[in-house]
Amino acid sequence: MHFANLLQPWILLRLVAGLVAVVLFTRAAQTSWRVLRAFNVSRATEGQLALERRAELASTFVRVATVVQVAILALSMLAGDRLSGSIRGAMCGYGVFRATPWGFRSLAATTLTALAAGVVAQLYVLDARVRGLDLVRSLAKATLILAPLAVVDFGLALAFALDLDLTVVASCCSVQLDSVASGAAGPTGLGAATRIFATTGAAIAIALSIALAWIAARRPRVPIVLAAAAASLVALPFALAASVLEVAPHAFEVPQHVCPFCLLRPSVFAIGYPLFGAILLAATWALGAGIGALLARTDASRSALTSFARDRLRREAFAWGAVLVIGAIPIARYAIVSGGASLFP
Amino acid sequence: MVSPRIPPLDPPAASVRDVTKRIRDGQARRTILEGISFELARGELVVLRGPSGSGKTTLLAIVGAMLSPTSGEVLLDGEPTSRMRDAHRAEARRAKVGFVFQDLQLVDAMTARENVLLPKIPEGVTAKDEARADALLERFGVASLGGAIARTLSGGERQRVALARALLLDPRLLLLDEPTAHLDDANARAIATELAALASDPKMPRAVLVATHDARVAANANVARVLDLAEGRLVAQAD
Repeated sequence: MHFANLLQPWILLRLVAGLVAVVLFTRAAQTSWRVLRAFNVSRATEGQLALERRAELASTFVRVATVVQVAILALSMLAGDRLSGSIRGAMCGYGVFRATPWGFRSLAATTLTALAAGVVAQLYVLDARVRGLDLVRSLAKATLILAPLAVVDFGLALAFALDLDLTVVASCCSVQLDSVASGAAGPTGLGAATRIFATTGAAIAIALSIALAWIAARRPRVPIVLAAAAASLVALPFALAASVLEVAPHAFEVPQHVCPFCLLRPSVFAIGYPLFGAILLAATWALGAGIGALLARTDASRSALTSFARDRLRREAFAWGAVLVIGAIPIARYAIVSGGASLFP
Repeated sequence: MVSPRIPPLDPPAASVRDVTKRIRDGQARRTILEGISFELARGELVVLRGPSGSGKTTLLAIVGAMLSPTSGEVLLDGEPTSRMRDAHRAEARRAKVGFVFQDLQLVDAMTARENVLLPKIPEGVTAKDEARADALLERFGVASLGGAIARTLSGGERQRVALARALLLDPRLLLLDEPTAHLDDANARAIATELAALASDPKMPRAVLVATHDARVAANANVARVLDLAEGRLVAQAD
């Protein structure tokens, strides 16, 4: 246990933000629990009306907590990157997160919680557009999931912070990842095939997501909205894989350097933040529209879905477009500076 | 056999169902209104009567979707507005309710015509709106004062401008709080007659609810009902 770590500014900031998210999600979950136990829209009693107002408040808690949770994700990446200067051998956040068994678990929990909170916050946006109280119960169920996620995320972040030994010599990402990736950089074999499959798959899946989102935004019927969301769900892993296997090597001009954390470094203009941020936003908006389409079963909610889905799907299309542009920049730059030569032998 | 065509039932312009309003007064809770129920049909001029502090203004604000009840429901044109979210309630209020406040709430630095056009400013004033504003000012006999700054108008003139503003969006429910409080006899009677005409307008019958303790309004022959409010309770409904 390294309690002194808690006084490191980046760790302290990350943990305080995590605590704020836990408190807000727990407060929202309390109201959601009451909603599930006592909400009865057919009554207009004092208790029911007070509960309806508290449900409104819970919606605000979830939205604020979501902003905090997304900030936590960025903060975790930033903290990992900044702490790499304090650990010998660590050149980027990879070395820091790999220094303890809790590092990547904590980061995965933070990412999952941010994505889940983002989707639920989208559903609250839909709910705010519904003229009645049709979605209140469904949203209460969704909100109940967020509190335990936030608690687990905070617990893992705390375990990571306490377990992190800043005096050890950590492994650099190039030692760990480059040897694994050397196959991906090669001209033949499974590695190269994986890279080409990921890049081609990402290009196709993102293009399909943009097209479907654009078509669905024009006439947001439930099947096409669901198709657009499904396409985004498929595009998500492809986009992440292509970012690592294709964008990162081009950004560093090193064929076998496939570290996503190095994309956050100032030497590559911290391109990883907008790239991964756009991927997360595109997925969140697409899933929000898709799950909203599944939940909207009444006339009032269907009516609200039209404008909601149109808005979210347009945003999704723009976010995926941004992913394509940001991802293409290092590749285009390398093509220009190398006179059109391929990075991979 | 052809069955006769039954026209759809027209919902009341406003339905107030078992409305209670309580407020926090320090540590205690004070009941302002308790168990209020009534309906307002289009074409009706109804007077809400009661002494000062009986809850008239609060009830008017609840009927007009400006306040939420602590319990109970208010339906405007059959739609339960008291439990809507703020944005939707504001939408419903704009579309369905015209309100004349006790202190009129005119913008003193604006002209009478600009005051009438105020409700259209958020979405943009069109030539059609300007024509309607002019027609309303003319209907209430203050057309010549359209360009006058509001603070220069007399009490009666301000009352008419406020009434014209409440009618700009052609609401089906018109609510007035003490509309004759500062008017002389002639003006008070003229306003009461105008309100009766507005309620029974053959082109657009509307429900008109007037909160007042002025006997001159309640005595108007066209008043359909008088609701008596005392200490937050409806004690009588007289035709």
